[in-house]
Amino acid sequence: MGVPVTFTLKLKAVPKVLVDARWVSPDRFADRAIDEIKKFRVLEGGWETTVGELFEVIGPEKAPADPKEIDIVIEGSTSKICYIGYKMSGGRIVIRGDAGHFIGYKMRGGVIMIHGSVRNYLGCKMKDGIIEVFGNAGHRVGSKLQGEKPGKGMKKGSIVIHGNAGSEVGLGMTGGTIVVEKSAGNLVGSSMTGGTIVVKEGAGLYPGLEMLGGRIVIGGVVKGILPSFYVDSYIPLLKVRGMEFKKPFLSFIGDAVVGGRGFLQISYEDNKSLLEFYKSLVEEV
Amino acid sequence: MCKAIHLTWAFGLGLKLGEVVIEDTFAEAFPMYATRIIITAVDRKWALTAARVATGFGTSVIASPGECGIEALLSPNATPDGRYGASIQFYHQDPANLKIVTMTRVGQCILTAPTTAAFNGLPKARRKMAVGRALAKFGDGFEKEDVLNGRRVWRIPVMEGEFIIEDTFGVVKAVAGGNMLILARSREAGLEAAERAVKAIRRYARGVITPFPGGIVRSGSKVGSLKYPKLRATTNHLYCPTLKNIVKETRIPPEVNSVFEIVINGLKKEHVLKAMGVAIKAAATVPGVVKIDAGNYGGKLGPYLLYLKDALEMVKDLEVKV
Repeated sequence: MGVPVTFTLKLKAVPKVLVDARWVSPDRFADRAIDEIKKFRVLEGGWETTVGELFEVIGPEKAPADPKEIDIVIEGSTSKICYIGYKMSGGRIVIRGDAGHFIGYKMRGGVIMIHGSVRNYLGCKMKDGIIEVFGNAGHRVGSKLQGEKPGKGMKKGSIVIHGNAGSEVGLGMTGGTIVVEKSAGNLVGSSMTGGTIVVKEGAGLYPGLEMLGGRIVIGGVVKGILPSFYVDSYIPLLKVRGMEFKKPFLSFIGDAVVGGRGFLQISYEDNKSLLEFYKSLVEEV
Repeated sequence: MCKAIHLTWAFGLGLKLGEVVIEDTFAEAFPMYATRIIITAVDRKWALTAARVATGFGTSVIASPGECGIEALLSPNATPDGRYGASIQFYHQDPANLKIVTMTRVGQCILTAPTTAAFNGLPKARRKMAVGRALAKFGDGFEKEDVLNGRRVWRIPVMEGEFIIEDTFGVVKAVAGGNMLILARSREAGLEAAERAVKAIRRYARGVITPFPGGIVRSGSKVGSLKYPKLRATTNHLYCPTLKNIVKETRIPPEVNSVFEIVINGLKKEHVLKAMGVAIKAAATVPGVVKIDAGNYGGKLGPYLLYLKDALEMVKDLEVKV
């Protein structure tokens, strides 16, 4: 593998409407001349325009044939540009600013780094790869689309959010890992069938709604637990995917409404008033 | 009647019980949720019939609805209503499914059996499941709540008379998957040893069940498959005598031609360990048994490691006569 080449896309003017920029991905750039890249179609609102009109494209004359050797750097902060990294299989995208919806939608590999915040559906239906967000993320991180069956969400790979996340993190996910360094909204991991979600601080109401499998770890205050979860065990020290929580957790099995067998693990000390009754039911074998 | 057998440490061979080698290994057990129900009936025959039917098709949780078995038959002075009884146990991986399995089994097999009543066999358990309360709806509004010998029960009118069921059944976290493997020279000797082991468990151990047919498994399984990735469990090829010349890493000695497994589920770890101990002692009395082994996954999967030597240590003062 050769040295990666970098294409820098500088935003010329901030768009006022949502932009569908799904052609901005290493797979599309691969084996294309820079003039061809500039002519790539972009939808700004309903209007068709080109990459060259929206961005100032700086890079080598021709992109390498292997997408893994392509780095794309997007400069300029806007929360309007969506679908960046659509179906990408390799390479790297760095966004120096905020980004819009559906970043890394259906991505199959590679890395996306966002030095800002993103809006909804980050890593939606992703199959593999890594996404790292240094700001906050919106709703439905690593999720399925509305109306799809459980298990149609994120399949593999990992998403790390260094800020907060919105509600329904990991909706319908079936594999992979989502780590939220701060807090998440309501319904974390609803309808999930596999994979791991770690929220290091608090979460909103009802984590694990209708979950069938997988594991949710919440290291902070939870606003409410569904009554369809059964307490399973008391864990004095929790280890999950190389992370260690040096505090006790209560592990629940659920969601019984759908006959699920997922694990919901909630910090005991932070939710003592909520979990005291459940703790009294746990017995040693 | 068996001869007195002495435990010896043979150099290079490990532990020996008479002529039988006891492998220095452990059975790997898992936590499962369990409930115990006391079935009573007008006579022993109907209590046993209801117990047998209610625990049918309950061998392994791999594909059957729960793991079930008859723990013991009870005399009238040990049951809540002073009739003949049987104590049965149901196991499942999570409490929600255990409740579903208990409701269907009690509703279809005990409620329908003549003259029966069902009582909670775990009155001290902290967790309860409201199975009786749910099944009482079969009474279609004619059901009545009552107290019988300090137990809250439902009286459900049925064509034969009345079905009495306790309001709630206790649930505890129990131990499942305790096991031992009997490696014998011939099928006859292996089966004889396995039968004796199960008989010893029924006679000397309490709080345990052996969920498989007659308590014996002839087709032990391993997790996953070498060839078919979607299968959850396939034959334990390391212990198949017909493969001992084909499979390189076979675990059976050349003189062994048949292997039987005994799986034990119990309410507590000590119960399972004791049952394993008496079973090993009983099986070792049969001529033709070469070795006693146990099934495990290298200690990586299950939280409970039940060592065979610990099991024997637990029953060292007990004389097993079967």
